[in-house]
Amino acid sequence: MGQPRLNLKNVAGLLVDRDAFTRGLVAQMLRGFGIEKLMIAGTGEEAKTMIGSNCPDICFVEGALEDMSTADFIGWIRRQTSQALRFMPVIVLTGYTQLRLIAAARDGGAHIVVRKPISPQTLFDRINWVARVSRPFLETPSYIGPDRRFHSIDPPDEKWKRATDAPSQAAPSQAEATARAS
Amino acid sequence: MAALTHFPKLRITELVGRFGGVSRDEAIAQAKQELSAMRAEGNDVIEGSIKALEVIVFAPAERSRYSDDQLRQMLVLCDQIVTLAGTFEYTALDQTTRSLCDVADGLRRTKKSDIASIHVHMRAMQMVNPKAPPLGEEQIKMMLAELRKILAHHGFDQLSASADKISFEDIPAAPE
Repeated sequence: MGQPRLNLKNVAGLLVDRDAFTRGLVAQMLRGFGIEKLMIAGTGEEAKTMIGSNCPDICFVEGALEDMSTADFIGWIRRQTSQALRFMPVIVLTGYTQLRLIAAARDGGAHIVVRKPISPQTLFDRINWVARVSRPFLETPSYIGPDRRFHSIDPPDEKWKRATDAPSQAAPSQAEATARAS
Repeated sequence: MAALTHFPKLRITELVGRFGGVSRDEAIAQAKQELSAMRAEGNDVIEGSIKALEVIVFAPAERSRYSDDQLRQMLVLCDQIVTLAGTFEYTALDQTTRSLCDVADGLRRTKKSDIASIHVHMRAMQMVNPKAPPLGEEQIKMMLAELRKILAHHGFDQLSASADKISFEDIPAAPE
């Protein structure tokens, strides 16, 4: 089976991280993958200004920005009128001490969360995934972002049911859910 | 507002599929090469962060207590060290710093005061700093075991256990 190929030459990326050296590390990896157009920001506000003049195709943002929450930053992106910007894939890079913020980033509308330290393998695979796997994009009063369900199985309990889900049934057991997914 | 579902066509999807580009192996090899060129600079940054950490650790706000802001600053510095130690595969430094994060985070959440536990971690980090003389495998094992006892003594969880139970691997594969 052939390996996935990515042509990132004309992809415009935006990288937001407070730490200069970490920015350098991720930027070098991305350049190694062939990304030539990379905008780099240290804060959320700086990134917003950059986005105003150039619409990136993908955004990499740290899990805990210095000047605003990452969820708020992503929420701002998701509320833009430009469709290219609203639907832009956002990959959140979270450090060890930021792991508690994963749910907030996901519920803010992130496409995927990647744990630091990031290996080139992981970063390449995640870019490949967000670029090639089409996900529905939901707009609801409480959430704007890609569909957070990765698997087509019923939610495990009523709490996470959507209004559009089938009428209430007994929640499937773990074994049933696994059998249905396979 | 009713719920709307869009099926957007992303520009990146069209761009990455264009003729040319790099294979996974080529891209990873190139990225690794770029990273290895940054190792010396990375060691300097780690050393600088350890020194900045020492300034906070050895000057607690009160005699027996760190302030919340000091613990927060420790976590920011440690986060950077964990990222760099992991990137450049300094396993002992990575584990020691994670342990310090777990203790500092636990102290912050529980409002407990314990300077000695932080000091012990700081000394351990100094010993596994990439610029320090390398320790033997047995010594590292023993040191990490002692650090685990501190975490157990306080009953603090590892930060990695609090990641909202999201599995990083539970993601379907992308088509080739």
